[in-house]
Amino acid sequence: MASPACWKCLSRPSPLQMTSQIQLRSATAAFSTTTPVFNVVKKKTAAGKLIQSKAGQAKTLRLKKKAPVKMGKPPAPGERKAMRKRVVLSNTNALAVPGMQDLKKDIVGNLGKEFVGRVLGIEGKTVDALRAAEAFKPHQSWCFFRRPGILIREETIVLGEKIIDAEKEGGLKLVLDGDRVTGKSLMLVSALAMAHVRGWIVLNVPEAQELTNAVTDYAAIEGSKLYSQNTYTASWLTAIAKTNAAILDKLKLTQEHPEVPIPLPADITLTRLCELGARDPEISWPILQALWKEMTANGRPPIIMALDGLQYISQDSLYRTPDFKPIHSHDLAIVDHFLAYLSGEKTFPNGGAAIAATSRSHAPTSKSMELAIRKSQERQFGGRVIERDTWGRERYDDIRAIEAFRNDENLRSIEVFAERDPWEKNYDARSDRALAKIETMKLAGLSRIEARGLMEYWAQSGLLRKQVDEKIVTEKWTLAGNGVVGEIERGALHMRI
Amino acid sequence: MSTLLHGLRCTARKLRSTPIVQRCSTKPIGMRRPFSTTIPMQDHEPEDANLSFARKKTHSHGGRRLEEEMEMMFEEQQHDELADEDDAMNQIENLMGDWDEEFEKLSEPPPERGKKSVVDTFHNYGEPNDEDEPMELDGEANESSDLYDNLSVLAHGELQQHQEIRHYARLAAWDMPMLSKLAKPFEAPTLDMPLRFRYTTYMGEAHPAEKKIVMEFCISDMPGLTQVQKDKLKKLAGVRYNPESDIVKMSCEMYESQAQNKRYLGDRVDELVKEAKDPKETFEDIPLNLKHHHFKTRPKWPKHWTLTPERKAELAAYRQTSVSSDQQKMLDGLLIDGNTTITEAIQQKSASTSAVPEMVMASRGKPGRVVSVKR
Repeated sequence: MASPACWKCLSRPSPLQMTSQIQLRSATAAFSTTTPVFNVVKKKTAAGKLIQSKAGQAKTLRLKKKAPVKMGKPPAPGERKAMRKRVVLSNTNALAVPGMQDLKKDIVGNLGKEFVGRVLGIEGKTVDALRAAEAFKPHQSWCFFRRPGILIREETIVLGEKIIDAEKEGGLKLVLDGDRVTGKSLMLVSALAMAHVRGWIVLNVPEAQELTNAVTDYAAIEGSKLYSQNTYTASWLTAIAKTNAAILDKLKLTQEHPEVPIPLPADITLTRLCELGARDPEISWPILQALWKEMTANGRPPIIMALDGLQYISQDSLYRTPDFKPIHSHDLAIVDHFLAYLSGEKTFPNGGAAIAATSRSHAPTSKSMELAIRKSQERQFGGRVIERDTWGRERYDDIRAIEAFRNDENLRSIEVFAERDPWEKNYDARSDRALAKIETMKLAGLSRIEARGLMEYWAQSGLLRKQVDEKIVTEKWTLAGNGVVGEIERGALHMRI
Repeated sequence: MSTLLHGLRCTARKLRSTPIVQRCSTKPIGMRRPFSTTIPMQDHEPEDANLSFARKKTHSHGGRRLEEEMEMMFEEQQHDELADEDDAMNQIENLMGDWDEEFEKLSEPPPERGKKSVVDTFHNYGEPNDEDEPMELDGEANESSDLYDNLSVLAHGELQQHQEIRHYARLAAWDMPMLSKLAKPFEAPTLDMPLRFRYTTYMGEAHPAEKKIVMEFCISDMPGLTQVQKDKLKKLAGVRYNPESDIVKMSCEMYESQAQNKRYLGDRVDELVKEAKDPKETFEDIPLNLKHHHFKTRPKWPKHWTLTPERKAELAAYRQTSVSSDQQKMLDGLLIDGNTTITEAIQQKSASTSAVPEMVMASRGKPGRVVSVKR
């Protein structure tokens, strides 16, 4: 603080001087108009407390943690799962494709070469049935289009013919194989749609890994070495009932079922039987057995059973016995039931099909299954493995490539006749036996005609803002590794620049 | 230094009076082969009486100018030449002696007067200096004064390197051609020599792997084995067998000498062949395990990928057809364009919803009730 006395002068300030200086001080503008505040006790705020520590030490800031405020309502149990697994099958923003035919009963029987490359729509009833059967998967691109439709490929025509043939006694045992995103699951959807349209009973296991990765409860069945999965069976019965409501409502119990613990009324419909099993998981497995017996009785329609993820059921499951030994997946009742028909051990009395698709993205390797598929291909092609080579098939465009492949030994794989490796330890003996007599269909890229048809469908739906000519079709086809469907989708449908 | 020598040599040559014919005729090179003018570097050993005598001799010249020294040398030379003119050996010896002198002179301390001999710098760090010794003005240095003071250590290093290079050059020029006498013509191995051994040398250096012997043999070249026995031998060899080259390769470095290791390998081969010939167990039911070997797939160029003129024409024709089919489709109205589809759809939608809206009187509560409007 400046002293009012002048430092140079030894004289004391006079009162006059003081007043003048005071006046001077008031005459000059203050730097700030805020009144200086001294010695104020700081309020302890909620944010933090500035702790004036002892002299010489640094100040610390101690923040008090606030309890988080709960905003909004937490999702109900099961809501997140439902959101994750929801399938949207329609988009009103997409355009309706003019002249789009539907997959009908007579068309399935008469699918000819003129249908290759066309996209056929699925009727409403079939869509509801397949949705109940969980045939549509969340990661597939149904949500882009006005209504679900399936592309008719050459393989679809072949599959249609096989399904027609399977309506007789015996049935079809088919495995769908191919590289990643080549359309195996969608081929399953086509098969289920075609079967449903023809009036078959549809049973679908959408993910085989749900059966074998020990997420559902399991219990040993007394009197056999099989294990039942009650909760899964109960939910499956619900799905079966919903999918095949149209058929099962009209069918009634015709036989006695002593294996079912509860007394069954004699005159119930099969839908009601499914409901009985669905609401009580304890009896779901016997009910399913009873249902199966009814469905395979005389005069009943053919049955199609589809399963996605064959590798998971070709090895040990993740379940354990009470002795902590691993349970083989073939010892699970549902898997055993499916494989009985796939292996040919049992046949469909009224005709039917057991179709399994492999999964090539993030699925375990099953050496037995690979060998079985190779041997099946060799059987079908007369001893020579027609591997899909890198430059594709081009069935209608360029037959030269196929001929050259067939004639040139250097191009074929080294082991033309697949043999069981004597030194390989990871074969699964039970899978070897189960898959010994399967028929396989190996999927590869689309041909250019099919690709063009698909891209025209996208353009007509308003999703592909390009002129669909040979140039763009060839471009997308080539970039997709010679026509792999999933890659064409990635390039033209999802990644829209 | 080289220019000095050169100059010295030239001057010495001029001062000689011997006829050139005699001087420049080829003289036989004796056993001592004084081909090099390089003095072999010697450690300073004052015990060597001859050397110190020689040095003393040279040091006696210290303090004089170079020309005087050369004259002195020349006199000595002349004297020597006159004495034994025909003895080439002596001439050469004298020459060598001269050169020796010259070199020694160079490694002497320079005859600087009134100065201390060496300044302690980085370059002569660690060398014994003459600080403690009294300086002799007439140049008679102590015997302990070393050779190093005239040149720096780096220069000595350079000199040594040069000597080393010359040493090897000498070897290469004179000794290496003698190796041709040791050369043996290559004789290809015959069918009775199926074993092939590999030895390693580290060129005189001691190395732990120099005792390793690697042996390989081809199974189909092993004499006296039937096919079944050869298959058994393959199975017995295990991972040592290479199916692509049909060779079994094994090595041994268990023992201290190469001979022992080789013997061991030979014994193993004998044992293998003996076991292979054993008829009790033929191993025919056991399949050959080749999991240890990675078969490299060497892809071959597909022949129909080659762009020949025919193929080019084919592709051009194919592209032409695709273009024309597109054009035809466009004419027929079958070419689908995503953009036009969308714009048409939007137009249709707006056309259907763009009807004139019906005007309805607004009412409060009950429909149909007309409310007067204040104007």
